Amino acid sequence: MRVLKKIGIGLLGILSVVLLGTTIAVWYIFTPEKLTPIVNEQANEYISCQTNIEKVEPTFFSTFPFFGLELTNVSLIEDTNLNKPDTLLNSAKCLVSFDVIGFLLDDNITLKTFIIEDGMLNFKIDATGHSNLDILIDNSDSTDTDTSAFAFGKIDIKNVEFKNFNAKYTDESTLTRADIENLNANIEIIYDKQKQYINLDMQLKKMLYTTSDSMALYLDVNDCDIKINSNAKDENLFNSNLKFICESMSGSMEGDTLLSKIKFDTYIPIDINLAENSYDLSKMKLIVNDEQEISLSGNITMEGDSIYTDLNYATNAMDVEKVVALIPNAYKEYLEGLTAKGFAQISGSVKGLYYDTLMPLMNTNIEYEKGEIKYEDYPRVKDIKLSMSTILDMNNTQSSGVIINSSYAKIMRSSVSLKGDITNILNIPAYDIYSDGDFNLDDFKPYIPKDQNVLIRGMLKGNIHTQFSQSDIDNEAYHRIYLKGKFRTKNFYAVYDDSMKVDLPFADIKLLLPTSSRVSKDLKLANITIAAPNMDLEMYPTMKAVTKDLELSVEINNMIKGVSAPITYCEYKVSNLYATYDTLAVTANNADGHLKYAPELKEKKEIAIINSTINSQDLSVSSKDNVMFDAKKLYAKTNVIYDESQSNVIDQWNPELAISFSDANYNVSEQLKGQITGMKYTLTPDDMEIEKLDLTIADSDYKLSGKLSNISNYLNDKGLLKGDFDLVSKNTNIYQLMDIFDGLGSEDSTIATIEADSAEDDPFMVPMGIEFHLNTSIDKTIVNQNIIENIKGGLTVKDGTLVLDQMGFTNKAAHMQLTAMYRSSRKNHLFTAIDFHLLNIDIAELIELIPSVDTLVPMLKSFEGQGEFHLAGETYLKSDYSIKESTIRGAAAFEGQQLTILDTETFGMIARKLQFEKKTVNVIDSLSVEMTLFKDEVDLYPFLIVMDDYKAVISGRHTMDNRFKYHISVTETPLPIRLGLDIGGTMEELDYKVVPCKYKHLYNPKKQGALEERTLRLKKLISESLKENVKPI
Amino acid sequence: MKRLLLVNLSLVLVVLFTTSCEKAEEELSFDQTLIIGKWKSGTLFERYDSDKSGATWDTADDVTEAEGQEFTWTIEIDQLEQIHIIENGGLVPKVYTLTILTASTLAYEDDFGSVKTFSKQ
Repeated sequence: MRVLKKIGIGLLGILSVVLLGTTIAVWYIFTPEKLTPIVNEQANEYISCQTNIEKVEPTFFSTFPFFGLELTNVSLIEDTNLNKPDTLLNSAKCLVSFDVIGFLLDDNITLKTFIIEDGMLNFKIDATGHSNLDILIDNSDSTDTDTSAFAFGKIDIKNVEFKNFNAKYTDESTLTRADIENLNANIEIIYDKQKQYINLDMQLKKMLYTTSDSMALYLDVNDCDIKINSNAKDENLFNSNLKFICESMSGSMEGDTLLSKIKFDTYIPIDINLAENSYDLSKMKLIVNDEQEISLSGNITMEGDSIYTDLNYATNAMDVEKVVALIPNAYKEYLEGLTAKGFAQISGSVKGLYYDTLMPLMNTNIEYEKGEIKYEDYPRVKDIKLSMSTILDMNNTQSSGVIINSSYAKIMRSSVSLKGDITNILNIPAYDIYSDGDFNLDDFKPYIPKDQNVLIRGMLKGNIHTQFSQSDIDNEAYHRIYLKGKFRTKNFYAVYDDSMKVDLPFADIKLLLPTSSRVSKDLKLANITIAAPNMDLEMYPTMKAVTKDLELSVEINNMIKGVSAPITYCEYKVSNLYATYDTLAVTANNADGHLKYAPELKEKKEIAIINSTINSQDLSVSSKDNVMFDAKKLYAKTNVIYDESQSNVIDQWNPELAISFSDANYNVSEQLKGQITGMKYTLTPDDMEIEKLDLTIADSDYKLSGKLSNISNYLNDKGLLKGDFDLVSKNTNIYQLMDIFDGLGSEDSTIATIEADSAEDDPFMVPMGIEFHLNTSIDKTIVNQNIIENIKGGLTVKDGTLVLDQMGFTNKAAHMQLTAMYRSSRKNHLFTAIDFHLLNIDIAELIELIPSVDTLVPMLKSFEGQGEFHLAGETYLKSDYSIKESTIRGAAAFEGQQLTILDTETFGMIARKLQFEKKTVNVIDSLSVEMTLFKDEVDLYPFLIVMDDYKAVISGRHTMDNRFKYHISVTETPLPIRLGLDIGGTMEELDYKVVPCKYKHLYNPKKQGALEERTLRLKKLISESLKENVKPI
Repeated sequence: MKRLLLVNLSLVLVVLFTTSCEKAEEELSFDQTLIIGKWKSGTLFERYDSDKSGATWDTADDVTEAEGQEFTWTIEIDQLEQIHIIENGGLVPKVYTLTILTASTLAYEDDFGSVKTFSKQ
């Protein structure tokens, strides 16, 4: 202890001597007066600018144990050779103390004190890049310069302090300016092998930074507080804390304000491992305006060009309205009219390697609550809730996507929620979305364009699940989309353009897009089903439809494939349908059916296959005050394959049609009404068959059946269109039918007039290429008050010719057979022909039945009784149906027995002239008359009348102008002479002339000459040719 | 007396009319091959074919030869017989007395005095 005490006393003595020496040196040797000039002089040796130091005062005690210098009013003036040299640096007070011995002996920098008070730095760089801080004069010999790196042994900088320091920075080369005002800072740096420590505490009143280039940057920072504390556990491991608070920061670029008095609070606690180049952030925070807080934690490790990140970040619940307010005005044009509110919290992570093209995996979670969005005049979207997260893997090692955990929004009285995910967003986004909605359609009125006259109201509630990818949309592969939705409407009411109205009090609607990897063969895309207890549709003013218990299923076509119709299948069921169109109304009960439209593409052309069925328990069609048609068990089936590449209409449509109904009543007009007890009809591309048509028209009844065949061949010019029909009737009232058609024709006098006018040049042309046959069997009809029965025969149309073929019928006057022909080879050359046979004819009733017979055979009315009448004739007509007289050909024959000659005035005259003995009843035993019609000539071939003891032969000619040239030869008479009588003139003025007997031996075979033989041969020729076509009765 | 007068008168008439009914006429015969060909009388045409068929048409009624109506024909001495054919059935005989039949002219008349004269086409 004594030794130690002595050593201590010794050291204390040495220290006292050193202090005493230093004091003396400071007070007497290093006085300011002596030191100031030396420093100024030496400064000019090393500094190129003008240095003015008012006072240099050494310090010892205030900087103990180091020496220091205190400089007062220091100023550095730029090169005085410049035109306007400016102050480079000045300071009211500058105090510096450091360990000179340590620096000189050990290369240690120990800066004990460095204080600048009220300083100002004016830092400039001219346009050529020269800085005014290049003031150090290089006095060293370059050959002696140690080019080795300057190495510090130890750095110990303490008490470095700036007080009220201002600075100006002007860079004319980059057109940059900066002003710093009132900077106060304390800096402490310790660096040696055992300890590394940095502490910075800086306050800045104001900093203004501007550029005058095209960027026009402007940054105004006020009241900043920066604290940096870094403490190394060893030379590689630093625990650092950085705090940056700026009360107000404003900035702009190119005149656009980017920041406006924003407050930033930043805390960065970080552990730095220099050896591993690793940075651990424990909880970094960035707080904006004391409200928006972003925190970041994790690790960043750099290795070469690689950066490995494992970071987590999170925000507080940020006020969206205030965040939006932070968005620079320059970028707010996209948000114009949009206001957003609510609180959003974002968190996430960045994890992985950043290198070259590699990017770390980024996760983001967003929670948005109490949200509100308002855009222009649209209704406010409120109560927005959103919980979603995103995964972003730029390396594509896993799918990047968005997961919407939940979302909800409300628009007025409507609400919608949505959840799902969007995967693979960096390549081909795939969507899997669930959505629920409860809509009051009134709320969507503002979204309807004002130029659209649309009114929608009602409630719609439902949900949708959909799955599709972006490529499905981009490539219009809508068949790949899956969508399933269910909706329920209440009090749905929509009006479009004040004319189209839909009233749907209640309906369940289902929508399904089933998804398919390939376009379905039938191009089906979606299915919609509607179940509506009541529905009211109206297309004012023409159409209206009311349904009850409607069940409708509609398949929607894939329109993108160029198909022409949107619907591929429609199935419906309705308990009651009431529809009106103009003045017509249709009512159907318990109806169902379907419509199928199945288009196919054949060589890129659409082949449309259309199938439909209609079933209705009963159906009626009504006019304003009349039920025009009603039927039961209506069934209609239609199959059509439409191929527009085909040339004719049947091949284009390939129709298959089947219609049947029963117990029908129709009442089209007062005359046209009746019943259709049954109807069954089918149509195929090649055949049309009426299996059954039982109807009555007024007092007439018909059963029609038959088949039209070879349709396809006919349309392809490969064959005749063939038809074979049977018409059976128990009773046909021809006059009623004529009244009906007359009535129909007279309903529109304009049409009737046009038809009459046009008939002259537009006669009926019988279609070519048709072979059509109608077999008729009518039990009874009435013509001219004559009952005609058993009408049997056929109507044939064949290749331009219409034939009424051997139509047979009977009445009390005769059994009749009629064959008539009409052929239209060209418009002004129309052929008509008739072959008419009256068997067992009653002459008087025949004339009553066919009045024109009297014109053809005028003497027939002079007889009474029964006989046979045969008539054949033909003529051609002009286009106005007038007769071409030169083409008239005709032949007629009448045979009768026991006929009575009526006592007419003409007969009386003839009897007187020929000395007939008239009786009360003059009976002719037999009569066989043949006549021909050639052009305007009616030739009556000689015929014999046998009456009691008299025989007479009559022959002659009369012409169409009713001029007569007749001759009567009395071949047998009780009288000794046989006279002849020529009768000429007109019927009104007959001329009688007694002449010699002309046909004396006509019926006397023994005395017949060539003339008589020829006459009889021709008569036989005429008669037999006429009878050839007579069918057995 | 009155009955006797009537008988005598009848006898006179019988003599007169009996003779009249059996009046013999002078008959001409024609070379029927001359009729083969097409004949024209105004707008009326007749064509006689060698197979004894024929056709007639009148261009005044806008009828062409192809549309002519058919007949068959025969000539016996001076009697031209046309049998016109009705398509539906039935025949219409027409008998004419030839008055001229040369290579260029055809003329005939019927029993009612109707005369037609044709020129060869």
